[in-house]
Amino acid sequence: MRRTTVALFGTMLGTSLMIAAKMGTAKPGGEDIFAAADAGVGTESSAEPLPTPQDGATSAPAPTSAPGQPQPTAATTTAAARPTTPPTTRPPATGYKDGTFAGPGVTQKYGTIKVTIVVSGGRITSVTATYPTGGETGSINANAIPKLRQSTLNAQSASISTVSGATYTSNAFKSSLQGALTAAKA
Amino acid sequence: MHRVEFVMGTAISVEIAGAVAPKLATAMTEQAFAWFRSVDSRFSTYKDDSEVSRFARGELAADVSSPGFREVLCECSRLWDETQGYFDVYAGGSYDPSGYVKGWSVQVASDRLLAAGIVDHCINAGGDVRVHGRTDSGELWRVGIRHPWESTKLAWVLESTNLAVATSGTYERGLHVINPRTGKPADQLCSVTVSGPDLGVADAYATAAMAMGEAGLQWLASLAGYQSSAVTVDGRAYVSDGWRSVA
Repeated sequence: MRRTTVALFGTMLGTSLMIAAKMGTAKPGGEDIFAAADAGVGTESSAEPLPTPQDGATSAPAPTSAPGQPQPTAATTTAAARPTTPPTTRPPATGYKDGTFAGPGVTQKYGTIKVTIVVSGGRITSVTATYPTGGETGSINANAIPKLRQSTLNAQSASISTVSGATYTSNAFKSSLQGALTAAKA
Repeated sequence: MHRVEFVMGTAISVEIAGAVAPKLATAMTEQAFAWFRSVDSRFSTYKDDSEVSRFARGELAADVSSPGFREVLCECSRLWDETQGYFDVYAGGSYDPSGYVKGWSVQVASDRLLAAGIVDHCINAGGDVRVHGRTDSGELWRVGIRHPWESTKLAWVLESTNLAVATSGTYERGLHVINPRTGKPADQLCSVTVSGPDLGVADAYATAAMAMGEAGLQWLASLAGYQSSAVTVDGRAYVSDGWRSVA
């Protein structure tokens, strides 16, 4: 099999360079996926939060943080902690109270997510999250705690055997990269 | 040995590499295309007398349909369940298993080549790819994933000796994937590629993720045994943890 360098066909694509410029404007960070998404699935957020052993309260929104309580950082900022079990020790001067804290439950487009943190020795030792598992909205999240990672999208040329892409018509094939590769192999 | 034919409304290429007797390579290539033509005659939604068209009109009962037709019916039903209803052969109103059939038919063709001892081959049906073994020069097959906006450029390149790669995208035929929950065309993702062991499953997964929209980015990450990449309409690109692009 003869290999073909895709760059050979690059000149055909001069006109698409303007479109390519769009790639530079890609939003950084995949974290806004919840806010930006509108899959048309379950905007009513019917899913109930999973009951957790330490959760005696409802998912009604709580104040974002208890007065005077240090603001947790990073992953815990979406759900402010509120003690649901008695603290086992007095809080260190600059740390958190020891204990298990369940957040108020944050309703996203796909359901309610509740974050629970465990504090030991004034440090957060564990962060867990419950995701909706029932109903239409929850079903997508059920086994999908991880997300795809944001990546860079480069327009590149490389030596390849074949091309995977959206299904082209017989006519479109003739002017496609796969068509060119096929011609090169003929 | 490399041959291209226009079947199923697209171009299908079958490439047999390695040291295979020319007679055998020719016979197996012909057999593969005979299979694709048979699939087209039974599953085309454009042919009034195909099994799919007759089934959709209520003129064909599943129990008297061909074995392949029943297999597709069962697999699509299983995939509907597995994709939480987003891979829906009834999304467009009437029975249309096209989102599975093309990938499935290539997988069957590849399995048949393998069973005949033809280890080194590459089949590409309109952008759905199955590679096995090595190229003529003894290297890994390199599958380029088309860049959604630059038609002769690539976004990623996968290398393998045994892989299925399916892509669903809006850049060739527009917004053709329907979100079955809303009945409207899915327009949040412009390209989804799924790679893994089985091309029919990869094809259906890619279609389901397209239908889900951005929620599909989470769902794709949860798939066992299948890796994926996706590009949103506004140019954000995402890949699963196990996605290994070599370029």
